[in-house]
Amino acid sequence: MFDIDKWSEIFNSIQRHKLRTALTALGVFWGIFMLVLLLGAGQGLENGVEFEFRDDATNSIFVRRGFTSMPHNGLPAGRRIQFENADFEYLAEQFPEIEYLTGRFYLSGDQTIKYGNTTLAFPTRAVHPDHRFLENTMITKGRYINQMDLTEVRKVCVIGQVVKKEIFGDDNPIGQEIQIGPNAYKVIGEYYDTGGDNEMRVIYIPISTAQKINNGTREIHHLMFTTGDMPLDEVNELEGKVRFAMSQRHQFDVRDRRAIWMFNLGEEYQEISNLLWAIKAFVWFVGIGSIIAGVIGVSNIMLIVVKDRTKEIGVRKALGATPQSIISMIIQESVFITALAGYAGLAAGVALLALLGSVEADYFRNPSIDIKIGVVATLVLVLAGTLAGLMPARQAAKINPVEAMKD
Amino acid sequence: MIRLEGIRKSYQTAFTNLEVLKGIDLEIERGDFVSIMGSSGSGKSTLLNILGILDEYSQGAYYLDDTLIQNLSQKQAAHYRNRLLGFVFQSFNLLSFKTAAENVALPLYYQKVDRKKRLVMAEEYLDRVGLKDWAHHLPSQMSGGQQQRVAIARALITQPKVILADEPTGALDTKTSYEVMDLFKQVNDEGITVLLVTHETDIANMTNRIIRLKDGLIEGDLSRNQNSNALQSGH
Repeated sequence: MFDIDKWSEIFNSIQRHKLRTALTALGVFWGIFMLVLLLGAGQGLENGVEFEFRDDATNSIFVRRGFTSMPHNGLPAGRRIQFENADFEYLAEQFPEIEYLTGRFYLSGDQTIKYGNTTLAFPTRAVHPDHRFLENTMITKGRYINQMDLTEVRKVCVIGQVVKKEIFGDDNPIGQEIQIGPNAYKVIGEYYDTGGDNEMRVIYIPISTAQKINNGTREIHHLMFTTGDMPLDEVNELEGKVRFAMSQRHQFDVRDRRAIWMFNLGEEYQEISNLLWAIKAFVWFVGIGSIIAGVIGVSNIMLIVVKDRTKEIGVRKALGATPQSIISMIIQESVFITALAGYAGLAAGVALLALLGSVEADYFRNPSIDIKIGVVATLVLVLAGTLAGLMPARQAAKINPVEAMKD
Repeated sequence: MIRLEGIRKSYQTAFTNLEVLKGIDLEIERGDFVSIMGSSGSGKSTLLNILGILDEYSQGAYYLDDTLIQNLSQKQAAHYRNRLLGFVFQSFNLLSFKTAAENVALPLYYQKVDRKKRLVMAEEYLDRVGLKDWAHHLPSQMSGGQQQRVAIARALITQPKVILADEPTGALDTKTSYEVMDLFKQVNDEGITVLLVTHETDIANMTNRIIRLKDGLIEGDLSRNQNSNALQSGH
């Protein structure tokens, strides 16, 4: 309800004590400002981390081969561990809980790519069909490598947008043939990768094809798989089982950490997430603390206002003001100061975050706050203002007009 | 209009029980013009506060306009004060940041009267106390006598049944005091009961009835209706 008299009372009261009100408002302003800034920075940190991980599924585990560092079953240390197709099939059969599974095979170095008169060099990855889920590869044209390509050992390839642009320009690449090294491949798809230009320079080919042209080897360089929405402890358990299975298959000590390297992205991500959570909790702790300090400041000032206006309130009561009307007058003033200062703080914080938006560093990008927080902040401010005003208002309502008007 | 039956008022302190009013029986007719006199400590201010529903009494009964005033909630008390009573204070008690008209209009604000309407009424009442041209001045720009007239206009605007005045001339010089008393007389002539506390005999002599308090009891009650024709010319 808009009551012009009440508002003019409030403006009047504020006007008579400009400095005092301004200092009070500053406390609330600063509290909200800091909270917004800290929350925004926290969000920036989170965005940054997510950006670093953007390219890969965060529930994936990479398995790389290494050299044994311990003798095992009479075998010496320093043996090279090699993965083969049989390992891939074994994992696929024995671990149904694995969501997506792929191997990777690299043709050595960048390959020379020829199309028409263009000759360029790009890296290749020979993979299984599931690979696209591990690298967040998004097909924009055509299709990805499928099982038929593998079974029939087709000479097909999927190219990144960077490759497409440099070779084909604006032409449609699908169905064209390009030469990778000594062999011609048909382009069946084009993809976008959130990992950026470097990731989009890669040419994917079926792993069976790459093995065939490499003297029909069965070798696989990397094994990679995702764990679905498994909780972290199950992921870790699965990691241990896979390590054990590999140690059995390749005759190495399961405690030998150098025989194979297992890189659990989920665990890594979890650790950083935990850190982020701790930072966030700290931010809220500090932010809410400063808001409380601001609110106590308002409450304090309102107490002084009430003290100051004791006589006036006494007169009003003698003239027929109900305790309720006195309470609502004080609370409204308190809410007004708190809300206005708080909103100014919110706006200033958001503005500063917008300025900081252009800052890009590792693990920090695009600091911002959720619009929901703005709504919540509004409610919190009104509530805080009410609370801040409540005690002084009750004090005011208790004023005895006779005592108040004595001097 | 006002009936007090055995009113007692005592203040409980940590060590003693201080009895300020020790049984006041008093009846004031509608349209009367009464002054209460007494030295300080006689209980006259306490009595006025009880009459003004600003303070509660310990024992007895107080009827205002045939309504028993007892154990009221703050809200009810505010309501009765607002509707039945008008207050005039020694130190005027105008709100310094409001103009004369706004001050006069204030009681109507608590009656939830529309802003425009109450400002029009305020100017009317200011006109009645001879301050029409001062409506938009702040109290600090006015003399003591003018301020007290604004306060009287403020007391009158709710058309109360009783005006209670606590030493209304205490802060004014003699000439201004008489002007203010003339104003009270006019108000009284319109049928409003006026009750004022004073310690000045000449002021009390301008009223129709003088009640003297001493040590919490009524010591004397002198009605001047019969022998002061000069004062009663209007009746």
